[in-house]
Amino acid sequence: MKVSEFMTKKIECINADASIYDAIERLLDKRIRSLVVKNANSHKPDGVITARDIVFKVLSEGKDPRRIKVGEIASFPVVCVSPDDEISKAMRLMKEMNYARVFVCEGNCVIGVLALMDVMQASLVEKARAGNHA
Amino acid sequence: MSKKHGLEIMLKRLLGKDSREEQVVDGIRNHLRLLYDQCCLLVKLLKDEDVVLIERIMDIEREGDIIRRRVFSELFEGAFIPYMRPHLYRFVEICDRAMDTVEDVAKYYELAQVPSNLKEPAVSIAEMTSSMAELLLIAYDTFQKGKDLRDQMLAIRVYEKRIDDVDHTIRLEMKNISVTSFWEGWWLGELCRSLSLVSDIIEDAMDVLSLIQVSLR
Repeated sequence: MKVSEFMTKKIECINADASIYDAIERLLDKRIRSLVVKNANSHKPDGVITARDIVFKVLSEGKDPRRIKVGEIASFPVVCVSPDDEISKAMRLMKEMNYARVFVCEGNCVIGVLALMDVMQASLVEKARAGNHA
Repeated sequence: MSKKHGLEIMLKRLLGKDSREEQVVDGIRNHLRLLYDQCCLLVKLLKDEDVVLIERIMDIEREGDIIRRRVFSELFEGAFIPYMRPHLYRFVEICDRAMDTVEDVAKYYELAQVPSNLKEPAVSIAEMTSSMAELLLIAYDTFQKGKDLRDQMLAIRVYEKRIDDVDHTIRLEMKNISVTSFWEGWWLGELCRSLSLVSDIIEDAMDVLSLIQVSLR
């Protein structure tokens, strides 16, 4: 089963110069757990900031989220897979790197995200499709 | 004798002996196969914008009607035990409603202009709906073998949830689309509503199939 079948195409982006407070606002507003971080310099690859980064690197340290920029704590570059890759490849990558999500890229452009929940759903569907061969 | 083995024997007795029963069983399978073919054509229609396919989708709906009538007639003439008949009627009726709704989507597609920003989510919904129709067909085969339908049921729910999410995105996008007349807006609204409705109906069909299986235990 291909990554393109189960990736989430709706991704939210934030500028690397925005404050962590802005990022928190966006995450809560959209009810998501990560944002793609865009650099002002478009040649630089995209990064990612997650709720986990914000809680562990800012809030739990007692730092002021208004004074810290997203680019300071985001991870660069994002870990990418191709939309034509098999889900199993993405799953292996996530396991090896202990990541909850990988991004789906075409060239330098992020076109989707594949999270643990998507992988779980894909494996369920694959099992169900195999039903008549079992 | 194990519970599973007992169920298999019962299903064989109920589904496999008499030619009338066989015709019903084969008819339902053909009906589901047509639903899947129709959903695949809908994907192609939305993706390639090939309006010639609209006629084919409507033809398939008519073929589905013929099969539905034949199955109903066999059931009316005494196929299966009376207890089973209402459940089978209901299952076939729901599948037929799914086919009618796919036809509605094709008809509204002919009338409405799908804006470019809605094309990708609409294709995505159609693709997932076609996967659901495929899973319903697999579930029916699995049912005939007397095996558990849990996997197919869960997978269909997964797709239904994903379709709901994309449908929500479409509705949010629709707020920003300007239309030039009442009918243009109406047709586009009905197209989107019908498109996401097919998955709900397939989910209902899956629930009925699962209930039939439970009732046979």
